[in-house]
Formats: sequence, structure tokens, C-alpha cells
Amino acid sequence: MQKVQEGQQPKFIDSLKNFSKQNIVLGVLIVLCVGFSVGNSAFLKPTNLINLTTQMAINAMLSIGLTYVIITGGIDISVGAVGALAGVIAALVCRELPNGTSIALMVVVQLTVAIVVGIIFGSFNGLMITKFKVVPMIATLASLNIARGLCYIFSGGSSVSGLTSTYSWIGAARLIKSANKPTGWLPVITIVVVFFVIIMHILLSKTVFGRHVYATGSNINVAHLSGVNTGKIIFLSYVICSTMASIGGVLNSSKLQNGQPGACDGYEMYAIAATVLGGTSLSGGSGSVARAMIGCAVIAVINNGMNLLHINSYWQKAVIGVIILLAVILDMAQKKKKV
Amino acid sequence: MEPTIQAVNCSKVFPGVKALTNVSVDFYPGEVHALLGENGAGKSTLIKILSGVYTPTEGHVVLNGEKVEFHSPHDAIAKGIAVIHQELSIANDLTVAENIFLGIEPKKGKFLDRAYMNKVSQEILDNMDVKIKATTIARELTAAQQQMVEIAKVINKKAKVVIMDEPTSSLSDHEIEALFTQIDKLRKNNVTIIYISHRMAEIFRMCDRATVLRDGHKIITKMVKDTNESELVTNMVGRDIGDYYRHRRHTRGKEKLRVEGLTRKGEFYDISFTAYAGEILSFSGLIGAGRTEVMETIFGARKADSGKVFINGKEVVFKSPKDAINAGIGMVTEDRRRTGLMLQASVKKNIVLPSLPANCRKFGFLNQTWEDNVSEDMVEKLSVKTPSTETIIGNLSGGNQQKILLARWLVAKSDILILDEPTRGIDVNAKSEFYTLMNDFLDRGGCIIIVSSEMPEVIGISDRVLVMREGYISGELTGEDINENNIIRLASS
Repeated sequence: MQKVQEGQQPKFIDSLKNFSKQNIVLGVLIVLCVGFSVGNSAFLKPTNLINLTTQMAINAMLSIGLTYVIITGGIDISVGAVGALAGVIAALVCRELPNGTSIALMVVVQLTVAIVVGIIFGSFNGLMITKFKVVPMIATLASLNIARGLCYIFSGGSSVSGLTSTYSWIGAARLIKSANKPTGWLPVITIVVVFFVIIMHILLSKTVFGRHVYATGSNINVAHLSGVNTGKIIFLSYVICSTMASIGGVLNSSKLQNGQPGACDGYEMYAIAATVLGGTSLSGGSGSVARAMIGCAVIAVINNGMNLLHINSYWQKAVIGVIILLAVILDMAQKKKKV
Repeated sequence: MEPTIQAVNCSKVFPGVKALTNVSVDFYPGEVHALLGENGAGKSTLIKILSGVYTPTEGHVVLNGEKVEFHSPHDAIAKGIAVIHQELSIANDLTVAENIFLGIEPKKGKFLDRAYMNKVSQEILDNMDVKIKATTIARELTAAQQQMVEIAKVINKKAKVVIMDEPTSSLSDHEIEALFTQIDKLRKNNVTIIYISHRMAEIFRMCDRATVLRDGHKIITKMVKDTNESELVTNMVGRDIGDYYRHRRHTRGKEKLRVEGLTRKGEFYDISFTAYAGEILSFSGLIGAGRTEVMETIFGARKADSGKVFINGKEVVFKSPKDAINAGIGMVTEDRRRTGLMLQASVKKNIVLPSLPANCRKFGFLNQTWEDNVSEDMVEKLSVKTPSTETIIGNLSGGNQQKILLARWLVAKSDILILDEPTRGIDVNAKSEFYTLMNDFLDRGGCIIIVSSEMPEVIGISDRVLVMREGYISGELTGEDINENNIIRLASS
């Protein structure tokens, strides 16, 4: 074959090519933001943008963990239910804490509950999938039902309420008072989510463990024959996923200052949508936490923008469905150019 | 006699690359016409133009004397052109008959006429003299049998032009014979067969004429009886490459790997051998003799029922490939697309994978600088043709992919290499470069074990040959005894 261009291509050009293929959804996000701000100038106001981050928070936590699982080629549809269960249990536990409990202790208890619930359900999923070879969709369908059932069992069927205001600190409090906002403008929940986004992104993209996650999803046989402990990697991915989901669920219950057994219903679908929108392929081997956040942003922007335009909320679900489909189709078409 | 199909002044340009320049070839009825050339020479592009996958940028295709324009492969298929790809297109969950009639299913009224399908399919298979039942689920067939089904498909479609891409690469010798019988039958029915292969012996055995492409140009078309291997190879690479297999007397070093009484029920029994530094030990035998299974067990990917393995004289037990890798063994598998490469990942990521734990920073953080340096170093040392180390490895040619797999184990500092069908599906030039790299490895004190079904390769490069037959080692050959007769004698029952 005669090459019209001879010689080595600079590495960054190849990286740039790969990057621009994932630009489509980022482009969609920008178009949406521009569109909504034209429709209602309140969209771009700092207050609204900060509100956007709190609206994205729960979905973001779920998507962080799902990214790991989907990269390994699996799926976890129990994230909503597990999150709700963590919220219910955190509410029940924290309700028993003495009245003068400090915020710090409250937060420690909340996060501990989240981590314990996450490890239990993540290990259950991981075990079913790696040891008993249950297909991920079915294994997590089972834990979805178990978790949801436990929500109603533990809560007695009704919302767990009567929680002190310290309980809602991590989910609803704002820091840094200013002249405009005497009660504070920086949401704690945003700080918490950004913290997890950063460390989980670094774990996935800059460590040997993260590289092994990609390798396992890319080709499990190749990974195994290259010395990767693929069973362990898959198991840990589900533990990470359930733990992030549990933290998300606790944040949600803190925001609402109660533990609802029906919380986070259907959240798994938005989380999967966000992750896929962000460029994580359902067949595994590619994706990133940062890109999943772009997907979350698209969904949150659509909801937020449509609210500001006073569009009937019944339309929002349908619109989100269409946008997701369009973005993924455009993305696929871009990747496979016909000759 | 008029040619069945002709490529007339065909050129094909892609962004940045001119894959084909002004190529004209005629293919006649009842001829088996070989198409030769290195990877990137343009064979695949020419075939895709003839079969409707591409439209030529310049030039056209003539079918039975009439100019035709294909807008899709469907058009070409409708006009009687069929392609049997290297990767077979068999639907594993359907029956043989359903596969044969895929896309052209016969109907009785509104319903599928299964009886007709089964009857006609069985007739075709019986005429081919092939013992396959039309109602078998395709998944249960061997690769060779699936290829027979591909031929049945082609016969059923009454194809006048059949293009076969590396048809023998996954077949054992006697399965190849069966394939050649079918090709002869097609030839007698005046079917035109375009045969793409790197295997000279087959080309000289089966083909009437041969066309050589190089760098997108047609170099020569000759009657096979008027030429020889050396002339064809010289035209393929544009220069005389001399002693192709570079067999040298290797000096035997110390014992690196010793296996005693390795057994895995149903796969192999009582395997014992020793491999030394500085030597190439080859495992020959029919497909299914158990060679790959032995290697996978040594590498820790399968568990033995009994037996011992010694590295450098010390007994070892490998619970997983990770243990074998840590002990210094590297394995290049027989199917690089399925079990060797992460196809969607970059060249760099494919090279460094097993070596990450040993070369990372504190707390498990990746060392990107090391990764960049070591992969660029390998690409240069092994002369890998790739735009950069960030290129997706699926885009590289087979020969370059195979070199990256070798690079993987060189970076992992393996000193025992197990290579399973190391030069399968790679062109003459790349093969030659690969053998040189193997020799360099041996010079540095490494030890190589090869599993190969290519007789000329086994004979050309081995210091010792172990022949396996139905799970047992049937014999060992050294020196002058390494020849085709002895190997075949020991390999067949």
C-alpha cells in the first residue's frame, strides 16, 4: 500500500483523534446549555448552576460506581434499591443517636452505614457473578429485589422520620456565607461528590488496579493470560459500585432528612443512561468516571432547563429518552465510518 | 474463452493511502487463481472491489463481458460472487441447513420449508462426500467442518466466482486434503476460484495461475507451472530474501524448563520433556493432538491432574498464569484476535499489560513515562509498522500485531517463550523478521517452545521436534531426522 503520508505520526495526533471521537456528547451538552440559556437567562445564573450540581449529586454517585462495573462488561441494576436501603438504615441508626451528637459523628455514622451496606451487597453481587457464574443482569435483579424488600421490612413500610437537623448536614447544608447568600452558597453535597469523583477517577485511570479493570473488560481471556486476577477485579468492581450507590443513597436521605423505603426508585436507569451517554460502552473495555459525569450533566441540564422553561414535567422523561438515543446513535455513527 | 470476472484498471484511494493503483486482472472459468502479496499489498482491497464491499475510485469490474457496478456486497452475491473469509461467517446457534440457506430461506406459502432445506442441504453435503448431518447445530462442528459448510453455502448459491481468503490457516493436513478435493470439484464445474494464501506449497499444488501484488500494484501474473517459489517471493517483497528460515546451529545452554509425567484426563497423558536455553523446541502433530492444551497447562491456565514442572531445575506449581509469568514464562496464544490482543486498546497498553505490577510507582500508581519509553523502544527494536504507540492495535496488520505480542513478553522479561502458531496468517516479510527476532532472543540466552502446524516452518527452524499424537508424545526428532516423512509418520495413527 502506498502511504500518502510517510513516517511516524506524532503520538498526540492519535490521542487527539481518539479524543475528538468522544466529543459528540460534550457537544450535545454545550448545545443544550446554550439553548436553555437562550430560553431563560436564569439558566446560567450562578445560583442555578450550583443547584444543578446538587440535582446531579445522587445520579453522579451511582454513575461513578456503575462506570467500573460497565467497563468490566457487567451491569448493576440494584444501585437504586441498594442506595435506598442504605438511606433507610442510616436513618434508623442515626435516629437512635443521642440528641447532642455532633455533625462530625453524624457524618461518620452515616458514611459507615453506607460503606457497610455497600460492601455487603457488592460482595453478594460479586460472589454470585464470579463464583456462581450468574449473569450480572439476573444477579443484580435479585439483589435489587432483596434490597427493596428490606427497605420496607426495616422501615415498617413508612418513611423513617424524626431526624435531627444534623442528619441533613451532609446532604443539604451550605458553607461559606456571603453577602448575597447569608446561609452559605457552597453545598456540602457537591464537595462530597466532587471528592469521590476525583479519587475514583484517579483510581480508575492512573493505577494498576484501574488498568486491570479496563483489561478485564476489554478481553477477559487476554487479561487472565497476562496475569490479571480477573475474578478479583470483577468482584471488587461490584463492591465499589454498591458502595458508591450506598453513599449516594445516604446523601439522598440526608437531603430529604428522612429514610424513605421507596427512595431512588428507577434511579438505576438514569445512572446507566448517564454512564453510557458519557461514552462508556456497554460491551466493556472503555469509558471513564469523568465522562460519566458529562452524561450526568446532560440529564441534569435537561431536567433543570425544562423546569425553567416551565415545560410540563411529564415531557421530561420522554425528552431524556430521545436525547440519550440521539447522542448514542451519533456517537456510534461517528465511530464506524462506512467506506 | 472469456474471463468470468475482470478487474479493469482499478484504483482505490482512502484518506492518506492509495491502496490500489491501476490493477487489471482476468479470472477465467474453471481456474484456481492465486493472489499473492504481503499485508498491505492490496489483495484484500482488490477482493473487496470484486465482491462489492468497495467501489473503485477509478476503473471498473467486468462480469461475463459486461461492465457491472456493485453498490453493496448484496449486489455481488446476487450476481454469483461469493467470498469465504478467513474468519468464517457461520451462525453458531443455527443448524447446518439453516446456515446454508441463510438469507435465501425457501418458503412453503408463508412458512419456512424446513424439509426442503434439510433435504437439499444434505444432498449438497453428500455430493461433497463430507460426513456432516444437515440438522447438526453449527456450534458442534470443528473449524474444518464449518469451512465445509461455507463451501456448501457457496455451492447452494450456485456461485460462479468463489474467493477464498487463507482457507487453510486453521486446518490440519488431512483436512486440507478434503478442502482441496472440494476445490477440484468446483473447478470441474467451471467455477472461478480466487485463492489468497501465503502458503507456497499449496499454491504450487492447487493453482493454475498466480498474480502478485505489491504496494497496490500488480507485479506479475504467471502460469504456476512457468514459475517457482523464489520468483514469486522475490516479486512479493521486491528483493531476494535469501535463506528464508535462517536456520542456524543453535548452541544449547542450560536446562530451563522440564516437564515430567504431565497428565490431564481427556486432553494429554504422561507428557515429559526438557527445553534448553538457546534452542527452539517444536511441538508438531495434527490439530487436536493436545499441544495447545499442554502449553496452557504449563502456563498455569489449566490445572494438571498429575505431573511436575521444573523451572531452572526447581519444582514449581502454577495456580494461575500470574505465577508462570512471575517465573519467567511468556506465552503467545494461537488465536491472537481472540486470546492475544485487546483489540480496542492501544499498542502501548497491549505491550505493557503483564508488566504493570513490576513497574509501577508507589501505591499502585501507573508509571506513564516508563510505559511510553518501553513501548516506543520495542516498536523501534522490532520494526513494528505503526503510526504511533497510541494507535489502536486492531488497525495494525497481522504481522505487526504478532510482533507486539512478542514485545509484550520481552518487556515482561520472560526467558522462556511459548509460541503457539507464531506465524499464522502473517506475510512472508513479517515471518522472516519474526524468525530473526526469535534468533536474537535465543542469542540472549532465552528458550523457545513452538507449537506449529506448518511443516516447512517446523522443519526450517527447529533444533528438536516433539511429535504429539492423540494426547501422547509419539516421538522426538533431531538433526537430519527432522523431515516431513518422519513427522507425518509419528503424527498420524
